[in-house]
Amino acid sequence: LVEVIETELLVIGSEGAGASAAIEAARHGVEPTIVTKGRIGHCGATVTIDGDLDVDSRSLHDQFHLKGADPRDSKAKFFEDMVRGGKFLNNQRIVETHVEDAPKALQALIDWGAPYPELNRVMHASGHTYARGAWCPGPKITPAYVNEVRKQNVKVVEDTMVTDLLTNEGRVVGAVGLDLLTGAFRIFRSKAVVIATGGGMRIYPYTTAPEELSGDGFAMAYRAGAELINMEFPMFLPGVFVWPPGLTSVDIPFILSTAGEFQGWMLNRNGERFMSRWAPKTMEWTTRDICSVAMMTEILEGRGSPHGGIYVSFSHLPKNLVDHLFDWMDPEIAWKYGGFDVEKYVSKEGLRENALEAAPACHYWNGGIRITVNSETNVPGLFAGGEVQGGTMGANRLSGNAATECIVWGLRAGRFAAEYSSKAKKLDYRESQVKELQAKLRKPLEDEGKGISPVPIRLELQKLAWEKVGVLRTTEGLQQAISEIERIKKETVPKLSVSAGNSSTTYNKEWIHAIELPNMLLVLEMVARGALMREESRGACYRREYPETDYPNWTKETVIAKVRDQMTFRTEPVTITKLPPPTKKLPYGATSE
Amino acid sequence: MSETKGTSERVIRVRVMRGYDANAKERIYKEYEVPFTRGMSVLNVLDYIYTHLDHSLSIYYSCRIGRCNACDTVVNGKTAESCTAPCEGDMTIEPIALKR
Repeated sequence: LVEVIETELLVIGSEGAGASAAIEAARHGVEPTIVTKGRIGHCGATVTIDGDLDVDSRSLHDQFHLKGADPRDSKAKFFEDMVRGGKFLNNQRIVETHVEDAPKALQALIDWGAPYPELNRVMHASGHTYARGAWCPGPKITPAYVNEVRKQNVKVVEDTMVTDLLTNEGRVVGAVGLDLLTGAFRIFRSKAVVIATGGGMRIYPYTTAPEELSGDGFAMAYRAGAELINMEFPMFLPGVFVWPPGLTSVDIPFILSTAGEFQGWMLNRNGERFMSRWAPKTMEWTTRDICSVAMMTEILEGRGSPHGGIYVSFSHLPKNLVDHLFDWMDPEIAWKYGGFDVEKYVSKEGLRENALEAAPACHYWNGGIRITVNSETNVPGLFAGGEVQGGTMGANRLSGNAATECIVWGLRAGRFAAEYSSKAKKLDYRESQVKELQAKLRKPLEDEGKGISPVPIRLELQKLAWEKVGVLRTTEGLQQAISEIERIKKETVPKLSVSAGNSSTTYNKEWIHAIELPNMLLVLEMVARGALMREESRGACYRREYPETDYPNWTKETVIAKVRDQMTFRTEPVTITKLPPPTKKLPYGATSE
Repeated sequence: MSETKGTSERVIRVRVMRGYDANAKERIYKEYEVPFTRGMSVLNVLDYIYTHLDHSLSIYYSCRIGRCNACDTVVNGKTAESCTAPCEGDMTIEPIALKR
């Protein structure tokens, strides 16, 4: 017998966006249920936030009285920086709402108990005209929303992966999933659903994102008929370790981030400081998209380091300065980064003599599920909020703005979904759809030992994504990737199974990977086909054959929809309310003529 | 998690608790041989086993940077965060629940 969990509003995802959505829905008198692939407060991307949450500096000054806030700033100026930073691909109506609601997001966190004195500090990252980053590291804000979720008596179903949405009469009426700890199949029946599952960064081998961000939300929304936009713009962060193994994919903000105060020099294996070819004035202190493209060019053209990165050197600084480099930096972003005692992996002495090895890593998802400013998708009953939504950041996100996005848009999705839910009639799900989805989910387990293990295929997919659909894209590479994706889809996916002897239903990672793999493949296909269609370079999507930003012809959203079981693409004009894009083709990175 | 590249320095022996025999009242362990490189974390070692030696070894983890505490485990009798704890050689790994 399958357990059916009845709820007025199902929120998929438990962290910044999902928790905010559930809290706001509860405040609007609707009883939400959170379902999460991990454990609330111990999963998702929010807890990994390094530093700040963007709010216009004037509000930080007037409303929050934060040190370092600058009253010369305005919401209009924040809007302009976001649109320029996003290379005019942002939905400007969404950006207007975003900058308007940003102070509410910070206030909400404080109301929920985020440690206000700790937040009394403002960071100024590149791309922002004024200092807008209220200090909000993940571990400081996570307990605040977890407490509020408990206070609002929100039901939380943990360690449960939602695999698909249920639809009836053209509406979303619930979801199905797998209890990862027991292997039990779960049915959720709901009047409305909010997807708050974050990005799909795990399709890449190098990513700062946690393990569970395999793009499930994009995939389930797509299969349920929702449109997605700008999926060719996963954003890369220039600077994670590729060596030693324990630090692989760990970012090093104190060295390479544009938020860092000290900069290592990036060198290729010829010892050349290659940024001189890309940004001769700003060198390593340029925006993250350009840095990433430059690094990846060196790596793919064979001028990289032994472990697949480039070199980051501090040898231009006197030794006694390197020794004290970290003394005047916040310890949380220096040698005690995350939970690491970095010195156990990289010695400070070594840093004076030797370069580090670094590469770009997938850090954030600019594109996503298409929403209105009221967080609705094109499928009635389906809402999306946070990183999983598209249109906010355009082609590139400014530093500190992901935290803002997850709280602002989580709250909005919760509010509008609650309003919908309180008016909607609860529909039944279709038994036939449930049966079909249950069979699909169980197949890799039932075919134990008879098929292909997802473990090597996942690595193969990540390698393909990295080399052909990563930071640097060529026409030939994208075409090869698409035919490879087609091959895996046809020849491998139907045969995915756990290995012989591995039929446990208790947290069986191989089974989970078999369920995630088709989602990852689908997301990779969206990135590859979107990138191939876009014949220009803009923000996080760099096409080698089309190195300029084609503002007159390509200031367009790529819209993905499932039509008769086919992935279709079309373009639509970007929503422009205030700031018109440049009228000429410009060199990559430029936003004014 | 991405592949651990580079040449290994030596092979280490890793004993992992895989279950509990209720009749014999004994913990069940399985031993694996893993190529070791300095700078590997405990999680790197477990991931190597899952990827290359035994797909049935499921490891519970999330952020990999010491923030979420999902990957806490018991290494040589001491609680450790497997993603940030450096591997120092042969080891015995048990689930955290035993410690609690």
